[in-house]
Amino acid sequence: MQTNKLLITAGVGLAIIASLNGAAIAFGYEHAQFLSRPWLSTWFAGYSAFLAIAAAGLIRHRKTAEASAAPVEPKFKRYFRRMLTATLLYVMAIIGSHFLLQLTDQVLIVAAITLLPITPCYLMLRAIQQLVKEMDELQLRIFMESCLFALAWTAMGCITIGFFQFYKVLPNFSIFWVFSAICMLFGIGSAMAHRRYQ
Amino acid sequence: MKNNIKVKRAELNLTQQDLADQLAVSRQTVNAIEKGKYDPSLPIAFKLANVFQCAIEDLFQPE
Repeated sequence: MQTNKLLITAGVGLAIIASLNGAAIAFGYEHAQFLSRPWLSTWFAGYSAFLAIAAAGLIRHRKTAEASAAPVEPKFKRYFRRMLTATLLYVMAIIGSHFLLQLTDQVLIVAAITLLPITPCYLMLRAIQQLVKEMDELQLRIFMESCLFALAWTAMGCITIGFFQFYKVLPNFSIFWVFSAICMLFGIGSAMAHRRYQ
Repeated sequence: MKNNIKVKRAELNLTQQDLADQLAVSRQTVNAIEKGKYDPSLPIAFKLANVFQCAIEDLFQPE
């Protein structure tokens, strides 16, 4: 239990720091870079927020006596293993491409190196697809409700910010935050849907 | 829909996990069905009726 609380605290803390950093960079504070690139920062924010919410959900789930006795389903073990592998490969590809991009300025090679982290992203998508295929009907329903929640609120956020930008209330900034927003909102939607069916 | 799956399960001395294994679903799904938070699909309702050796109407009643 203590480890889970530590994970939540660390996840939320990292998410807040990275979100603030991403926002600072988006609004033009060049010296506020906590990580080398804004998109890396926003991805990191979304992903760590998602992990924190998932850990919080896990703690709530484990609070019931029968849930504590129930083993973790093999499909979730497989999913975590696949996702962890893909995430490690992604981080390695990000760091590797960052260094490789400094060695060349030829457009085609730069494009190829920039696409390097996409392969682990595909592995992440495969891990999610394989998990969804193995879900039972309630798990699938919770997944769908979480996806719809993330889609609806990301669309609301995008259009709201779009209006603000159109009328010059907000400056134009990178759209890399959208993916982070989807991840974070999916986590929130998932926690809400799990709570609904508890 | 209300149901008496919890009572039937207790009569057979099954845990939620045992029942979930027999239905090939997660324990969370069995829990949600028992509490009336989720109405199962027909295939699962038939599986439940098969496990408890009764008709679906004996397990589920409209509220």
